Amino acid sequence: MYLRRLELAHFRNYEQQELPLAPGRVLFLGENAQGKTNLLEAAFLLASGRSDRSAGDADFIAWSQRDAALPFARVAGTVASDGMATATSAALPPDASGREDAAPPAAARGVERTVELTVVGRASARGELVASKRFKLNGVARRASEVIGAITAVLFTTDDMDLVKGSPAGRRRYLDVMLSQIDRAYLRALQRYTKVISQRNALLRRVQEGDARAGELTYWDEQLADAGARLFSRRAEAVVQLAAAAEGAYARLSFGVEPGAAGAAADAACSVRDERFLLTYLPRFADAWPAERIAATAAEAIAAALLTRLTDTRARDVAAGVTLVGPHRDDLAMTLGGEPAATFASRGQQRTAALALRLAEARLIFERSGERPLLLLDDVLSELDASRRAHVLASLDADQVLITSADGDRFDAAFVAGAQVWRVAGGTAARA
Amino acid sequence: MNEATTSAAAPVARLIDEFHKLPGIGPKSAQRLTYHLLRIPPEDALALAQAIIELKERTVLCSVCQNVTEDDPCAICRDDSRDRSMICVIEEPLDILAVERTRAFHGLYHVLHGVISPMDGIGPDDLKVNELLARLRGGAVHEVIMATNPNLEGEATSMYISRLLTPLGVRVTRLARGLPMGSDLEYADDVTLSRALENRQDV
Repeated sequence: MYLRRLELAHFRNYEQQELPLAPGRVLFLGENAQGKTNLLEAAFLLASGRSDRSAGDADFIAWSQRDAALPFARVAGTVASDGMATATSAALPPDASGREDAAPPAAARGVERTVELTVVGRASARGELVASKRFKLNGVARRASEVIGAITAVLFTTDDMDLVKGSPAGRRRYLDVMLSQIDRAYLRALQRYTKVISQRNALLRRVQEGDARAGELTYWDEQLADAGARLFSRRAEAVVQLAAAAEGAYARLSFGVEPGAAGAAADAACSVRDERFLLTYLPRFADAWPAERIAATAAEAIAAALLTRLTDTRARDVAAGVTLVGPHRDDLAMTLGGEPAATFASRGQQRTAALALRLAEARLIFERSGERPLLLLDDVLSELDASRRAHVLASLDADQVLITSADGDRFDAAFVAGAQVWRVAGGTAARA
Repeated sequence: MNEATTSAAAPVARLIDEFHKLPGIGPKSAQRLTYHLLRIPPEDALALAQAIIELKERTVLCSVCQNVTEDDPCAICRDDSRDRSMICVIEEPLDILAVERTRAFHGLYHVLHGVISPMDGIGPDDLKVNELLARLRGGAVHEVIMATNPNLEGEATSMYISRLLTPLGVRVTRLARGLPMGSDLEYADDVTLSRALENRQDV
């Protein structure tokens, strides 16, 4: 799919901006702090409903609106899918595999769709601005869970190294953002699970302090097991697919070849074998339930086992005041040539691994939804050397790539010539 | 005290602060209401003050159903024409008005005054659950209808209470989940639609 049109009103440092966008490469060039990243953030918000850049939704609202009677920010984006991109082709994108409710809204597939997000602010009792998000799909007000995934996107940022080096929370977010876009049942289970965990942990502390009886935990245990098993099951299944895509992407980025390629490429690939990038799912459940067993078991059976485990470890949970098992404590293990990538890999290797994870994300979204997601590259090319940059650009399999860069001059002429170029300065984007 | 109230006369500032504590009243509205009261005739202002005093002094919770009432027991609990074998359990007194508007229920009510929400520090002991159990001891009640809201906390409350009641041999039901009347299938959200499918009925 490609983003045909992006509109912003009072969003971050943009007052009113309309961007008619072309398929293929779109470059946003400009000095720092002019609003390049805000454009990619806007597109990513429409796809995922979230942003890692803001503490609260009120941050999206432009300063000029802060004293308005009804402060708001609006972002709208219209995508055309593969079949619509070429006027001559009547072919619609292939339908997703038979996975039940895995695909984005069926009625919205194969046609243009418009996602609109309005952030409405109001003054809280303490006088600060609090905001809430409202979504529309094709002009009709919808819940976030029904809109997320109508546009799919993968965001590459310079912080992606944290996927390799950082805390497990970042890796869980990586899985959540990806799977929420392609699997609405996952998103619903995640929303429910998040609420249940907060309530259960609060109850554990009340039980610990003698303000509640342990028996009150039963309902929350059941809800946690039900939603948690769905998350375990879908993550285990996804990581198998993701690991294969990430390993291939890592080899391509490093050496320009697939592992196991023939001839001259195979000689280069010899060194690949010492540098295989392997991704493994580490569910936080029980020793008897590794990722392979979860992947091979029906969600109902996982839920039953998880409920038993929660009951068995209830005393420990009460003592800790938090829930100690469950997908909220999952992690992904990453190794490079058999060693943990977080500690043994070089900076360059970690950067390549992070890029490979994002490319694998794009691959998984394509395989599951039948449509290529938008690729949003926020300043990631400028930190790569020439050969890795060439490998990255060659690896991008997308209908549209939106790229921000502070220095357009460093792209070679052919790359810029084939791209739609925008100059961004002071909250305004104009065609160069 | 905020900026606006420091420069106002003390009684004015005090009322602004009181209004500001109310739900849905921001600092601007609190000021507007206060200055409005300054301008109106004294008897109108006193009538408002008296209404607030009587609200607290002349209302009690009905000893039977826990609804807010002037006379105990409340009008519904005193009404002999109502079916005493059914109790509809609701979260807040306002929910009684909603069910009464339907004219489809002729039993009695029980107001819980909240829902279970550990995050807000509310457990079953903070709700009128024991009062409900006491009402069932007489054996005259055959059915309890759980009419809590269909969200996580409402369901938790409903589930908790139904597990307490089932051993007593009382029939426990809950409101059906489904589509609003007069709505359009096309515009139904998918959670509601899938619940409606699960709860489908023979025609």
